[in-house]
Amino acid sequence: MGMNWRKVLSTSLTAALAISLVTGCGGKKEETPAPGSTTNTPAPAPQEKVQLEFWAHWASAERRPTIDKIIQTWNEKNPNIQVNYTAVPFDQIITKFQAGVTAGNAPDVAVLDVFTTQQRAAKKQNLDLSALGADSLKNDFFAAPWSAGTLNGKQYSLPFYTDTRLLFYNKAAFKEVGLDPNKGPVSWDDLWAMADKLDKKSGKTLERVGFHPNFGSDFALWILNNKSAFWDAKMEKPQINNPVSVETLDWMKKWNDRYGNEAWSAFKATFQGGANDAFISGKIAMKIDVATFAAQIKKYAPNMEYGMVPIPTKDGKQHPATAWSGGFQLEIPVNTKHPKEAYAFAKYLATEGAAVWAAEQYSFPGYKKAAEGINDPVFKAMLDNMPNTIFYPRPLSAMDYGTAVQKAVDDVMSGKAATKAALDEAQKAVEQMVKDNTGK
Amino acid sequence: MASVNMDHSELTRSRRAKTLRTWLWKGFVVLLLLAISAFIVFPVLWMLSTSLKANEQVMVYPPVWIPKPLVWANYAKAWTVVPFTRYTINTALYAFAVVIGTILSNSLAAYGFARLRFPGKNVLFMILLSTMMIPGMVTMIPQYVLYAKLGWVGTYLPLIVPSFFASAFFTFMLRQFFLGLPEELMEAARIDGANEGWIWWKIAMPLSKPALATVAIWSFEGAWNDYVGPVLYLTDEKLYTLQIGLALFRSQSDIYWQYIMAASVVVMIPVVVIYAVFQDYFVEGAAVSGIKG
Repeated sequence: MGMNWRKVLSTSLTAALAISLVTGCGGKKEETPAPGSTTNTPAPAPQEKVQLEFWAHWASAERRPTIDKIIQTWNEKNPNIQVNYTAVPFDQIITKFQAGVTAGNAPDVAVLDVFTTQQRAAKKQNLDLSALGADSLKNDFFAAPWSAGTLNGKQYSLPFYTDTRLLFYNKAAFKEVGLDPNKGPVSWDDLWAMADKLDKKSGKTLERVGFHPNFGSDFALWILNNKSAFWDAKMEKPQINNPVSVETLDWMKKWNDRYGNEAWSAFKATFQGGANDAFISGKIAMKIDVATFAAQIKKYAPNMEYGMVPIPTKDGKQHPATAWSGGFQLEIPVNTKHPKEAYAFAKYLATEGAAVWAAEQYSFPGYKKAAEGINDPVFKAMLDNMPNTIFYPRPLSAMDYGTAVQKAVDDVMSGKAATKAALDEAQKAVEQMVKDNTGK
Repeated sequence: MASVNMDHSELTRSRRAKTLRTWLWKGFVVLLLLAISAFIVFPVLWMLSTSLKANEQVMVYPPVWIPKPLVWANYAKAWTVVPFTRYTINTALYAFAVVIGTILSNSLAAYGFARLRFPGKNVLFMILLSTMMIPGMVTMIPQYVLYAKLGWVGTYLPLIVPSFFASAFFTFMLRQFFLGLPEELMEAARIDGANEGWIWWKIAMPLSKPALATVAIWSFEGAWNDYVGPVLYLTDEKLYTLQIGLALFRSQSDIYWQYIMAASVVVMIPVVVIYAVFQDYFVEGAAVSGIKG
């Protein structure tokens, strides 16, 4: 009997040993108060040496070397503010950040999705950077990504990289049908007229589509492009069924009817990625995409002749919201122990770091000088398009209103509902969302 | 009378028809099973196929089943881009600790609920079972805060220690199994002066190998495939697990399917091997305890 208890004991001991082996490294960490003594054993520094924790989602062989280099440069220059980078999976980084803020062990700086920055600010999860002097940087960054981090006049993030959307057109297809390859479409009417020439059908089957506003772009873009918005200026009241909205969706529906919903759906089903992308393989002659789509073309069809122009508008004139942008921001959690140092590092990352990142990763930086410093036609096109680019936030009272809008678009495209009726329904659904979330 | 005096040839004919029908039926069943198996195996084969593809071939249409050329280097690349050897060791230790904890704690609790008499037992058992009704997402942040206060975030403790405190599902499952063990055996042991601990370890446990194997396999799989837990609690890349390693291949814009698949194939191997080895126990355990897997 004693033997067997010894067995139980030994099994438990093995388990305990296993735990201590697995946890050994992390366990040590808890003894030191600084959030970030994971790699280096923190020597009691003569001066106050600070260790910052930095989170982002870059882990691939393509991304990692660049961010490592950027951090190494910082660490060499700042022996008293050492940064440790941890890659966190993209789909969980926001959850992990929020859990960390709640429990008081978030990193000191994190790279997070631009669309949720204001939400975190409203929940008091990220630090007010205006208090640290961020406002003086305002004009160094593009307005669109900068505004993404602003809430009630205070700044809660620094832009890292952003993007903008442009219209890509296939010059070879233009030449083939007798269009001037050096003149892209400027107005909605241009799109329609050019598509008349570019469309190719055999019987009912589509072989080439000139343009479709619901491919690569969506209702959310066209509503801004048509000088309206889904929300009032304060982002409090939805106006999804406003007259311009109805007009815009009618216009999209006209395009869909042009090709026929079934034919278009069947055609879309043949689209693929990579070298067989709809635009690269010539199935679509004009499409709207993030400007860095140019990198895909370079990769899969380096000899393709294409042009890039700002997104056409109804009257052919560009205005400050013909395209929208997204991107990633640098945020500092409210309960960092080293706000000044974290801000200094974030500032470095958003400026000098963004320049290195832009050059190596082909991402468009939020920092103007970094963007201007890159000699590349695509970057030039993006730079020129930034004055036409807006960041359109998600209202805090209905972050997911897009699903209701999308349903309206789907119903209209498939002919299930009339435009006005579908948008009225969406409006009602979103009003309910606001009510549920705010009690108003 | 006519029916009794059935013609011999007629009898053979009917028998033959019956045999034919049986064969047809069997053939149909086999075909059906093959079709279903193909359906289930399809993703696995697709995974194997993709894991050997060059980047340009991953997304082509019509899909290519046998890649040309076979890019074995994907495996080497997937393994080195992210330090998978380290992650494998971490995950193995983690899963092993969880299995030990789950078996010891759940069998002890189950033995108590199945074999001991004490006031409030049923109420306690109901409370235990009711914890199954609470979705994990609800307790995630409070749990996180609790572990953070204990100073456990950044270590494996929040992932392993809970397994040493039993869970409703496994306790319930083992309790059902223990209830089915003959009471006479335990009675006899008690008469011989054995205490309950001894009976648990020397009688109940050895007789419950199939059920314990099931618990072991399921808890191993749970730990091996756990993703959100490790992502949330581990803050040092050196401590990451395989599932986090797999997730690191996905980012917002670039997904390297061939590497994800190559790594997934390797990550899947232990689970398949363990299942194959313990298959008999596994099925038996699930059957005896009346739980359908």
